[in-house]
Amino acid sequence: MSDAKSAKLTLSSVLKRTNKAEMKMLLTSWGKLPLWKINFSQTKYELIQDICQICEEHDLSVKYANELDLLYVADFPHKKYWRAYKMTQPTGNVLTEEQCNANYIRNALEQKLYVSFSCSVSVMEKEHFLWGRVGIPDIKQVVYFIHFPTSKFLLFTKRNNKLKSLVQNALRRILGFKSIEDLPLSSPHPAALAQILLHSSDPHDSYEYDKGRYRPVQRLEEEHPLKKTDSRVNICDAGKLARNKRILDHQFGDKIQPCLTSLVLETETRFRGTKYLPTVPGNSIIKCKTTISGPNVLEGLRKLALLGYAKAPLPRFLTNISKTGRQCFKITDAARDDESRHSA
Amino acid sequence: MLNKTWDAHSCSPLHGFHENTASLDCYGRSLSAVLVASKSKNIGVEVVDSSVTSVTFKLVHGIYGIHNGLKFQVLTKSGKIIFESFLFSSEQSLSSDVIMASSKLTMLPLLVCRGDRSTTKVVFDWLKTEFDCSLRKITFNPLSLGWLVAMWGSVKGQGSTHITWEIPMVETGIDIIESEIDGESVALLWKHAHEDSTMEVTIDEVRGFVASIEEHLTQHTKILFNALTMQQIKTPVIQVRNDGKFKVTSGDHLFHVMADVATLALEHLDHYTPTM
Repeated sequence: MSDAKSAKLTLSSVLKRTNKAEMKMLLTSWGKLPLWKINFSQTKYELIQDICQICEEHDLSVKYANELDLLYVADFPHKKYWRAYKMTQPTGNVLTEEQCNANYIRNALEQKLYVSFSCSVSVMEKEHFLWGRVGIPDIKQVVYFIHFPTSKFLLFTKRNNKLKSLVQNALRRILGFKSIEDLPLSSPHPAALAQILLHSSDPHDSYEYDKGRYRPVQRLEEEHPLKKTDSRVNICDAGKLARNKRILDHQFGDKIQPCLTSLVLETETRFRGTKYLPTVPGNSIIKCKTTISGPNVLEGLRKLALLGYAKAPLPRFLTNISKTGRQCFKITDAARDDESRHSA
Repeated sequence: MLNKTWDAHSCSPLHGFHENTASLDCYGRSLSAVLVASKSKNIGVEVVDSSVTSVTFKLVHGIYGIHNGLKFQVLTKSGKIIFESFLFSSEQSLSSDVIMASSKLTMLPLLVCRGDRSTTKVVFDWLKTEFDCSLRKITFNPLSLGWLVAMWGSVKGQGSTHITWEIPMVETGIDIIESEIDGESVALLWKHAHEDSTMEVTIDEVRGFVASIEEHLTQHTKILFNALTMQQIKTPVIQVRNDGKFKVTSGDHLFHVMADVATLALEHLDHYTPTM
């Protein structure tokens, strides 16, 4: 496929995914087109045709189209699902802060990957992250990644496993590590993952590159959620709820929890509902997998306990997620002894 | 019927319904004429190739000997089905006092349908006029969902059961909590909740069964599942939502499943006292 055709294809696929309202903002950030030539009051289909036409007239290459694609992902990261990886066993050639810039990473990645296959690489820095895009021309395979400069963490979007593993290995070697492991942590919000990986899970909180941008934010003093609706509402058991709030503030801390959209709990334990079915034998094992989903499950757990839909104190493995960086758990009962064993 | 999502409605007894072939053909022609007339009045939303060409009524033979259902479809000129519906009976409805008292009444308490909204409205209005019946959308309460889990969650060797709860408050940060329970675990719990010696299933047995599952999950997470709203269940055989939508995924037990859902539909009708 010719360069111009590839550029048009990439451009139109990005613009089709973008809302009309977001398109102007995206193209302004891109800065490659004279926006005064574009009539944004047209229908979306006509707008896309118009923009592709203007790009052809200006001979914009596929390189710039790929940059627009990367810019779209950086401006709307929540439209992808990001999975965290940790690099381990430094080789002694770990990159310095000066080397950790977009140009260096792009050139090094191109050199490493061109040995295996022809690909397009785009890297940019935005909001203290390095955002990257690696695509195979003529094939709709693209991998997006984020690196937190000077840290040992990478985020990847979930698709394209084979290409992803090639890019992972290349990045690992460039950044100076021998191996890379998959962390049980994923979210559509890279900022939340940055908060957990760079700050909350590190007891020394030594990461400085982001200048504190992704540090947890202090929670504002809040009223009872029911009281917010109407000040004439009288809250029953106010003392009990105040006690719960103190316990939950101690468990969750005074910072707003990072935004994770799911938690998975697998249990293979002895039956604990004997209050209702007393005849079930004591050694019967019940296998369950419980998934909690929502826009912010950690804050949700806290609110459930505040509202009385959960008993405070909550289990520690649920309240410590921002510190442990795990959102998948497995609880089993030991085969021989009677104590339950917590394993993750 | 398999692997399609249906809307469940309860249907009061049909007055003057005849199941012979001539009557079914007559109903088809009548409904077809009503649909054509409604399109010419521009009622509802235009659909592609919206010209109705035929309506077919057929009897469905099931598990109760004679028949236990009726199927009717609305097709366009190109043969595309724009509306289809089944009416089912249950064991209780066949021996209902209402039916014994009057030979003019036919009890098909469950109506399931799928199709575009405008056609559905016209068909429902026709049924109400033609057979003097009333149709109401069914909402499955947690007890009904729990009963279906008990009946069909323990079908051996067929996979696990999913129960979904939703949070009664908005904007808490959590939308749903879904629990996937192994089929053998469900079977074990039901075996202890229900006396095998009797065919009858009591409300207390179902409540105990569901409460025990919720208590087991509460012990692990401290979330009070008994305070949440059960939204959906998915067993190896049937998936049901509390808003009346359901899908049957296994053909082996289709008529038994529909008979169970018809029993639930019967409970929604004012004149019937549940014995479940």
